[in-house]
Amino acid sequence: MLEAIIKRLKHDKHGVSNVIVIMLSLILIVVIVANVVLWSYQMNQFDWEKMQESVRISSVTKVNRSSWFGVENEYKINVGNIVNGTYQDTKTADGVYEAFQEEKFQLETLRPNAAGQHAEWPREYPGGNAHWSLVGEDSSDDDATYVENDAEAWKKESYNLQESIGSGTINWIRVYIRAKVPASGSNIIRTLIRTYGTDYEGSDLALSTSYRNNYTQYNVNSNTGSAWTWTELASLEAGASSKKSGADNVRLTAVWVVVNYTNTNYSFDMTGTFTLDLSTYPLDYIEGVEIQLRYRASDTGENWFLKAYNWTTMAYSDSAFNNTLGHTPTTSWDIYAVNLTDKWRSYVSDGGTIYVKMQDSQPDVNQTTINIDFLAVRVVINGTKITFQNKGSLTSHLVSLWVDNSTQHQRYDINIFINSGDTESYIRNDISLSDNPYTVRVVTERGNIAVFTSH
Amino acid sequence: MTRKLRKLFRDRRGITPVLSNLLLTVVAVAAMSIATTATYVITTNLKETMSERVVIEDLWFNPSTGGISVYLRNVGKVAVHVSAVYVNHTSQSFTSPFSLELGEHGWLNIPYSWSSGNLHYVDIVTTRGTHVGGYYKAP
Repeated sequence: MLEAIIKRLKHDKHGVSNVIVIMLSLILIVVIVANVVLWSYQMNQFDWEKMQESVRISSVTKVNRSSWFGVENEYKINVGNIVNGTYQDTKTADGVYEAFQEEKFQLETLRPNAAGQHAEWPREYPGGNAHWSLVGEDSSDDDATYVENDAEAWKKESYNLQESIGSGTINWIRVYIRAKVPASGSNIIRTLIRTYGTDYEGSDLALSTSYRNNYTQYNVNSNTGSAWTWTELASLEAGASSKKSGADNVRLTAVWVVVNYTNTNYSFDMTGTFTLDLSTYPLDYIEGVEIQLRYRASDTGENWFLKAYNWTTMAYSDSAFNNTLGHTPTTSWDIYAVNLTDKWRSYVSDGGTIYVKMQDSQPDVNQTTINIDFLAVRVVINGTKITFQNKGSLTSHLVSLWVDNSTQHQRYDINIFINSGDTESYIRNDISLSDNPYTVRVVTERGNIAVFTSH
Repeated sequence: MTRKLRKLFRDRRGITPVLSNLLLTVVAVAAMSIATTATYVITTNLKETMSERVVIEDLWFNPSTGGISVYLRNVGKVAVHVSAVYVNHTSQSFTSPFSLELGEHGWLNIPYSWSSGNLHYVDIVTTRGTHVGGYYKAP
């Protein structure tokens, strides 16, 4: 059969040409049709998906406050004890609480909070900063901030200290310094205190190439020869003195003073770390910060205070709070709320961290039990909350948001994915709704538009 | 070798079929090239026309400019070029050329004096013939 076909084709050469032409034409037609059909299929699928998409805006509301931000981890108890519960119990106001108890206060740490008499060391890092601010951090940051002495003569540094909250008889104070020689060799450093306008230096302390805490203990005031008094502590300056005697400089990264005393009264002091969600509430759109406490104290005889860490003065304070008088408990559940007013920025770090302190007004003879049901912070904003609902069977990608009124059509870029059947709340701090009628529209990547009208 | 060449030039009957076959081959190749190019052009145009999708995100009767501002988004799979804009079936000028790449969006401003409370039919036409628009009532 095959031989017959080949034989015939050899004889009839016109037939071969015709077959080739027809075959090639067929190929071209198939290519055209396949291309069109395949592309048509793709676009049909695109249109079908667009038809299946069903996004709606279920609500648009003004937002004046953020949600509450609870404590990040267990409270740091400076004075007192945890009796039962955990920090998780203080995140919601639900009657489940963490219990604390006052104790006799015996140790206190004071850190630099302002410049003192001496700032003689020639170098600091980062450059241009006040020396006290580079050595006053709560937990030492080592080479991140420091002051350095590269002079071959004795140079002094002394700083003002935070205000003490203790009372009773002071047994001793210790001046701690954390220092090193950066590269090689050895150098000498001394602790330094300044009281009654006179400098007193400790004995020589040898340094190595790694940071080490050194201290000098002062059982009595070097000037009076008597036990320290609280008044003397209030005006005390602490720091260090050094000179470069080896090949390398002297680097000082932290200074602090520990006070030990005997106290017959009970007190309470704790701090918690709270972090604002700056991705949702950028600092530029925050108008204020509020702290709220729901607590129950067993003693009604003393006031309770909420304070926050001031990142400028590097100390806890309630300065510029709307309430600086504290709160008197009633032995049942009480709510104590404070607003940080327009000075809130001093109490919020660039990363959104707020340290909150709760403490009693002063030590007393009663050992109070404090139950904390809720302690949290939130921000005051002037924004808009929009709730989207995806009722379709496909995931939707929202790409544009429009807020239109009679005078302005404002578009906002958004990038929100909503799974099928999901509801998503979206807060914009830069959208401030007016009382006049408005229309909100959202556009999906597929080109569908959902509309919400206020009227 | 010289003898063979001499024989080839003397035998004129042998050259004609070679030339005719050669010419036929050239013509066939040229015809196929034209056909292939035409196929490519036709399918590409068809594909692009089918792939064009534009939506109007917002149409604003802008009281401050007195014109109509249309916010367009290209949601298709090819770049879009606007060739004509009609308001109430009358051709209008616009900021030309106005093109949107894939996923791109932007304002198309039409300097048309709209009348408050009137219905306006806005029609935006692309170079491939896609129409997008509709009736809009001026506030």
